[in-house]
Amino acid sequence: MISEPKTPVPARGLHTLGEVMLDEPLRELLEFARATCGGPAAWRQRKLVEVRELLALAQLSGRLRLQWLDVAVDLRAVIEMRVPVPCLPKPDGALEIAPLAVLGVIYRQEVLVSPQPGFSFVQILAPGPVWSASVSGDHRQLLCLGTSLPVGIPLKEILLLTYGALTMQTVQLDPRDSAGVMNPAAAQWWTCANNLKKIPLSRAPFVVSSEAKL
Amino acid sequence: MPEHAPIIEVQPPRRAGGNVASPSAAARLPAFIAGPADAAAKLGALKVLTIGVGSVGGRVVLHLARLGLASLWLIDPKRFKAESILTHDIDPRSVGKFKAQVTARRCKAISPATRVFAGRVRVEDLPVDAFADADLVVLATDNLAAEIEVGRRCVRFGKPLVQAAVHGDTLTVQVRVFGNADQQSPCPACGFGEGEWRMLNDQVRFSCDGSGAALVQGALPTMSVSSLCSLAADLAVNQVLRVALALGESVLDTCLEYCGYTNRSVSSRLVRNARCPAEHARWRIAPEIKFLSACSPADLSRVAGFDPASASTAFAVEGFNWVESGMCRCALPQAVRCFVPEARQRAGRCSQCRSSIRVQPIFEHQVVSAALLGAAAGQPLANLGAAAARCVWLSNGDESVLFRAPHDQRLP
Ligand SMILES: [Zn+2]
Ligand SMILES: [Zn+2]
Repeated sequence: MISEPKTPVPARGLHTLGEVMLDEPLRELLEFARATCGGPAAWRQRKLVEVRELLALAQLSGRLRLQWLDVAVDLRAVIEMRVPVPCLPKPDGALEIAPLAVLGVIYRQEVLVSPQPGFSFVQILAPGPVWSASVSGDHRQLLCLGTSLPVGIPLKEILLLTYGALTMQTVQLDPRDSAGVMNPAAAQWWTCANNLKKIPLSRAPFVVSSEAKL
Repeated sequence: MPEHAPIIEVQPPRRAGGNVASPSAAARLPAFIAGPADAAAKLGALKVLTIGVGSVGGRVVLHLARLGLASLWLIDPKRFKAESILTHDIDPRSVGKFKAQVTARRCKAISPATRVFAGRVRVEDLPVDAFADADLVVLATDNLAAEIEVGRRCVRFGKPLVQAAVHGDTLTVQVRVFGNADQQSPCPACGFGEGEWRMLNDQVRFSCDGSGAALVQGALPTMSVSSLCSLAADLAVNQVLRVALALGESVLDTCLEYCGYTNRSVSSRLVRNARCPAEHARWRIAPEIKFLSACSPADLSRVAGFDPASASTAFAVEGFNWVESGMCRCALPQAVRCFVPEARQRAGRCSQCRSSIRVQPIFEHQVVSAALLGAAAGQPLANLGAAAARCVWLSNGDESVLFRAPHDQRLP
């Protein structure tokens, strides 16, 4: 179970995630990352900064729980995110909203020097089948966060974009526009007036605090 | 270069009136002051890889063909457009055709003795060892992502890089020569300012159909006049000669800038930017291994001089991904633990439910750590699904080693 946030959000918002004091279990995770981190020195350093911010974000938001972490080559993590996830188990059936997504997140070294495809970071491992314009309809359930994500985009921003896309606070539904639409049938479905009024699935901010400035 | 690369060797043209005698490249070669006595032989042994054969690179390779080089590789994924006539040295009948192929044929016609290869690919899609056998690389593109990639590959294999560029508005030509003597040498990205990084973000777009990296390049065309492109090419070839024949003072790690408004040229030193985010890693190339797939990752690790017990050694097999596990109809993920050809989305069948095991990106690794390989590191690559392994590279921290199986299509 994901706990409620305990640590107050730093006054200067999420820019200062690095200053958050991590609680004990998360500190251990950071130590584990430090001990197993591989690759060239600059990339190792960067991965540890990203992991630290990820752990701080998990602690602050109460929305994230790290299931698995591998920093030997890329930064890979399986993360539970408390977020409403639209699912359509039967094509003609009713929409179901799952309360939690299990995300497979890959943050590669290439991000340091070249813009990356928006669908190359996040895969939805569960639940399925997700019914969203920005999630591919195949078994991989790739989440598209845009046509291209800028060089050096931090992992915390990937997670905030993921939250925005799944809650449909940020959504692109024009099936004729390839930018951001991974599942044209779902995009079409959501544009029907009856379904459109369900958007967004939640208006809650990622970090439940009035102090959080993104 | 490997056989699977979409790169073809150009054959000499058949002429209706029989073959015209090809002149020896040495017939007009001057006696360069303080140059080597065997300049023609040195040029005749030179292998040059050119990335971008447009308005500048297209002219560079024609000049290089006239020097009678051993091999020329022309890499450019684009076709000539109608507007290309305005800036490129081309026949209008070439419009619509691939730049690399058309230009390669012209090079071959000029120098039938030169082995000329044309690749209609992006530099990012070239085999990992594509630069290993070149003596020198020429870069002539406005594509910043390609610049970074070329710089990275040249640093890896210690190849001198000559980069030519024009800025039409200011009538300026720049020719940079990167020596790549070691990891502390500058690379093209070392010179990037905020503007270049912003432009890079604007230049690259991907289609969101999830099919893969369907890339849409938003790079603007070169705004220049033909003569300025020609001048850039001429100055670049002059620098190639200076490097290849060690003519005059070293031009390695310098930038030559000519301004058409002032008619002045300035040469300045290129320096390594300590904050450059591009990888500056030098790779060692291990001696060829005849039966590469008979070796295990642990064998290769030992040959590379890495501690075989180190969990942080990372392995990559060109054309394959390590698949740790996948999903079938059973509730739990199925272990796969072998190399699977890239882009294949299935990895065998589940022994219980008989359905195919589908690859999940999160458990699919282009580069796999020894920690993840575990006991499999002791198995020959052939037993791990990579019987067709042609190229394997290992890294540990800042050190990398490339292993290659022999093949016949490598840069000769
Ligand atoms: Zn650099
Ligand atoms: Zn099964």
